[in-house]
Amino acid sequence: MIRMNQLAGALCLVAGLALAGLASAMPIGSLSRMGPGFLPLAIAVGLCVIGICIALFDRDATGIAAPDQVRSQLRAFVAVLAAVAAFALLIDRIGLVPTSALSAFIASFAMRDITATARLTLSAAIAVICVAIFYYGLRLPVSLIGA
Amino acid sequence: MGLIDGLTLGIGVALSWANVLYCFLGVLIGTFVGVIPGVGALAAISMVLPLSFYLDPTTAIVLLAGIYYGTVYGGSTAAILLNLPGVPSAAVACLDGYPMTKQGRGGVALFLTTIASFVGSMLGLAALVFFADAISDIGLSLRPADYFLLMTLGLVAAAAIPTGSPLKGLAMVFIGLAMGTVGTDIATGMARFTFGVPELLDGLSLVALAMGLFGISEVIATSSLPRQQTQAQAITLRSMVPTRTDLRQGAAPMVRGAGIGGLFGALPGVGGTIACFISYATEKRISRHPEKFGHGAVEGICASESANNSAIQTAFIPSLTLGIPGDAVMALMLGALIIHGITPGPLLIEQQPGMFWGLVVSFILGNIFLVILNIPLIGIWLKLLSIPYHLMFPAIIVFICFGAYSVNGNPFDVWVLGGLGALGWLLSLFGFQPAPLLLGFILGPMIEENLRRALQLSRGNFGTFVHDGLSISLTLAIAALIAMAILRPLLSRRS
Repeated sequence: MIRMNQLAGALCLVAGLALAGLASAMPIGSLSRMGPGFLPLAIAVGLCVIGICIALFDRDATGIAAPDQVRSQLRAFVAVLAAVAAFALLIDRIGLVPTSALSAFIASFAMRDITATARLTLSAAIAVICVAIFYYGLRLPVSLIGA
Repeated sequence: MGLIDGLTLGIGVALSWANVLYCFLGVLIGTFVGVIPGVGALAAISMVLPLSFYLDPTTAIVLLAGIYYGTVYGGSTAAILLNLPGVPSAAVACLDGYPMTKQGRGGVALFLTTIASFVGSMLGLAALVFFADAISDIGLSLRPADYFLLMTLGLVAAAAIPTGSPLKGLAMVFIGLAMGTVGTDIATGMARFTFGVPELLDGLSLVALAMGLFGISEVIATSSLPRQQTQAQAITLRSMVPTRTDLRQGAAPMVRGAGIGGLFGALPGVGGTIACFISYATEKRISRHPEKFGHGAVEGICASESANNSAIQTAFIPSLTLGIPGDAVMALMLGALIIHGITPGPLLIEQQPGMFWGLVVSFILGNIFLVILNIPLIGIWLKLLSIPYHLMFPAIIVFICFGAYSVNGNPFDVWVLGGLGALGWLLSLFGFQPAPLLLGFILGPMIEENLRRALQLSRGNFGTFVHDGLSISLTLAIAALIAMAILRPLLSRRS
């Protein structure tokens, strides 16, 4: 647990340093005339300080995931992100119906205890609902099938 | 505007067909989300957010607010019958509600929490109406420096007070602030952190950020859990009738709970969950039979549910009168208003009286709907607990993608959604909570603007932040919270 906190602090420190690097490329300005880089630089400094504090002092284990929890969520993580990526890639290329069905099918792999038939039925049902809500309901400017 | 004029105006706005319909839809979605474990108010509101852009701004807030207070009513149902809090704030309802179910008094508990929720909401709403004008007037006299301090206090409080590590909360606030700076700098017109991507010139999409942090990561975390087979006992209307003793014991705690909840709800960063625990602890302390608590004490469920709902109503006070959201849900609603082109702030009630009073009346209407949904129609929700609701998860993912896509009709926002969802999930593994990030993201641009103006007016002199009694006390409060966040882990290690 303690090691996770040190890692968390290190992450904040790295993010803070990266932000500081990017921010210092912009004009900082003065206190009375703040430039665009002023607040980002201040945020970066704050993030670095907090990161160091977390790494050194933080002993709070609330919410830190145990290794087996991470393993069990990894499958859902991959499935969900693959579904989102498929949606982003396909929506403007193959249209609403196949995209929503395919994306739902991929997302259903986040769950383990479900039969292949159930996955297919679920995807078809979701595609129908999406047509009703987004095509006919909200009149989203996207074609049903095809680009 | 007087109370009578205001209410007349509000009735006209709230009783339009669209507003009644969306108010009902909001509380219906809210109750559903509250009953079903695994999806919280923030996830539901972020999913509905893109749909609300199609609506008139008042109707949009009526809908989003309805979801918010609806989850609290629904959350206590699963807590009482199954010992499963559907939303975090329902955890207190488990303490005495579930023992009542085991004693066969689940129906009575549901009835009493619904009544307590209604009483709490109405008393909190009365406080909102009573204080709104006065606080707006104060808001008009505040300087940019004061606004900067108030918003910073809200952020720091939201990061440092809730459960978990206050340091990580602060880190999330900073990350949120940094994400808020992406896009064109309003004051200088310079593009920041856009890396040459034209879509980023308008900043990161609020919809994609909220749905990524709360939709995507929640689905990842819950859909991998094995589904709990639950069977709630049937509740008949007859079994819901409380005894005269129940009502007598519950009445005073409801009023005290509403008072405690109302006070904490209006403070930045505290909110309903903490108000529940405090009002529960208060009842236990002043009770002549503290040993009853945890074994089905009517006082416990009445006080905590009343506090919870009262806190939600008074949370609208700082949001609608000063434009300063106290928690992430309020921030999301203010974000929706900003997207609709309405600037929340002390002029809101004066410039948009129809919106303010329409909201007030719609809260009354929504709470009446909720009493109907939760007492005569309770059977429907119990059936819902036994359907395989985990089949919703793929649908949620697809809906979220459509939501992100629909705002600009651009797949870029879907990529942002996926990226931020992945980031949110990774951060959650380290115990970082997403709510302070969202608050920082939404408040960031307003904080920067006020800081810039404050320092411009004072010619770069930091004395402007310790200029008078108000700014000195705000600065001290911020310093105290930050000191507490850094020192608390040090002190707890020693003990």
